[in-house]
Amino acid sequence: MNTIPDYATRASQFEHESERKQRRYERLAWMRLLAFILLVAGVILAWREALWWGGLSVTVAGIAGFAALIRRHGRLQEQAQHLQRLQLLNEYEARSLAHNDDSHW
Amino acid sequence: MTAIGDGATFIDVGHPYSYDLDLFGPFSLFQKVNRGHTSIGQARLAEWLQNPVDTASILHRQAAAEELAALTDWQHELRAYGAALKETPGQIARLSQWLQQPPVVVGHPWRQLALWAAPVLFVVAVGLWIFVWPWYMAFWLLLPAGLWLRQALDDVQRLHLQTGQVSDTLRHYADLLRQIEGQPFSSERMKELREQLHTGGTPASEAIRQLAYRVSQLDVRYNMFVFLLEFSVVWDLQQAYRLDKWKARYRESLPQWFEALAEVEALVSIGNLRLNHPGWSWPQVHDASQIEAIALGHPLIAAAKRVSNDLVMPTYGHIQLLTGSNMAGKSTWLRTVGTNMVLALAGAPVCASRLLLPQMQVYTSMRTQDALHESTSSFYAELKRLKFIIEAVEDPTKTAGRPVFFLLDEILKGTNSRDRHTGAKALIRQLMESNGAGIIATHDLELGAMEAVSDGRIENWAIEVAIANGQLVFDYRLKRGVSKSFNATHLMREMGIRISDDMVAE
Repeated sequence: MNTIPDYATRASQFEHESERKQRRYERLAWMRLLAFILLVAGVILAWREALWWGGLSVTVAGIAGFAALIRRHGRLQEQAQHLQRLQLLNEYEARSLAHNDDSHW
Repeated sequence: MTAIGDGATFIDVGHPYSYDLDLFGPFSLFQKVNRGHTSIGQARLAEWLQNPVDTASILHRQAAAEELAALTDWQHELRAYGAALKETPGQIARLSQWLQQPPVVVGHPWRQLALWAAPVLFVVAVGLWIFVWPWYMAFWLLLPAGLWLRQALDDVQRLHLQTGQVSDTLRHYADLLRQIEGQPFSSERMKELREQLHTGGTPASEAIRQLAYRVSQLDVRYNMFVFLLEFSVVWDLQQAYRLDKWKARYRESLPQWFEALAEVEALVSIGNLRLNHPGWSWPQVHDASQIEAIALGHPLIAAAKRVSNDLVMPTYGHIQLLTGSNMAGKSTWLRTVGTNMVLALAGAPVCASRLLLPQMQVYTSMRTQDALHESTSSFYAELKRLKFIIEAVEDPTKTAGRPVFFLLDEILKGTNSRDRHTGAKALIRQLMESNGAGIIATHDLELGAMEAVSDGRIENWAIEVAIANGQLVFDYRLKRGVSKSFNATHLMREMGIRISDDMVAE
């Protein structure tokens, strides 16, 4: 026979993990801004100081790197939201077992 | 994040039992059981609660739900993906309509020609504009693209109406399907359902993600600059062509994938019910015409407050007459029996330490109401409901051969006491002669006399209420015999109706 999971503890674990991801997401937002500024500066410098292929290489590599950073940033947000949903559903189960089935989320 | 639905959209007052047993709506059985987020998963669970299923399917569902109950982390992951869904009503139905429609581009030679001719003409027009012609001359080369688009406009509009803005929903469906595809299962039904997600040659999640992308590309039509794409590459036709190709490949598979997803979500709901209530039991369905329950309780009453009772009775030509004072718990007992039978015959665990029952079809008459729009009084509404039940008892074709088990509360309450007694007596006799079985709750104590002349086919049961120190004491326990306690006078006095002892004595 299965035992009822400790939903309250699980909810608190997911809340903790979700907050940790959210903090990383916010830190990365600043890094993203910084990366954008560096990218623009790098592209301008490369086109001004290097040969055309050097400028082109920096532009292509810079855009690809920035796109990867954006994707990673988006994934972090998805993970944080997913963990938050896990937290909420465990809270819902805890309330449901306490017989507050009206408590929607 | 979406809320877990209470199933209010499934409320049907004409259903044999769902309205009386509080199957749907706020504080309902559906709300307690449901953990699905997709429209198709919720509809599947509602269908299971509304329609009893054969014994083999019950056993399959029980085994699958038992397996899912043990997979807590997996089912929570699935539900978390589901909770991200923001599905709007009708999206999946419209998508199903699209599957039945003929292709928009494939099979139309002129439209297929446009797929490559329009981009070629565009490149030529741009080249001539730059090197040879003035712009208005080059513009004429774009005219065929406009004509092709105009010719296909109605078909594309219909296509977009059926698939528009569904891409986000499909992406979340793909997440749910991927979660199912990635989990090995051991129960027969779960293995079959997982297999079903590979019928198209590609994993269902991957194919649906492709569809989501294709649909999102057609949604580019909402962009105000889409005309640039339309005149250069006939964007609408390009996307319609890709959707045609997707449909040709997966037309047969998509409904099966949705079926599998719906069933898994419904099974997860049942598995979760099992997980949260380890003290409940899996019912056993047998061939004998007998119901046997030990510690049967109402699933919607908290365990700390719940009072359980046993029930043993034949289900062929047998009636239990239940009497008791007001608020004694007669209606709750009827609902306890009904909801547990519904759960059992849907493949779910029941709120009992043991339940043995045959295949049956529950019918209830408990909450009949007058209807102004139908010019129907509450008495007439009840008569119509009773007719509905009598017909089901007397004509097995109406229940696909399932014997009827009825739960009737306060029959014929809307008429005078003499007619009520006569009518109730005749009805009980008729139901019994038609070999119906069920429980009838009544305040008419004189009906209890029928037990003596019924050859054991009618049993009297009662729930008593005691008055101690001027307070009503409820124990909600079923006892053999006719009720001997009366509390209506006490209740009426408490509500401010001045009833003297002399009046009671009269």
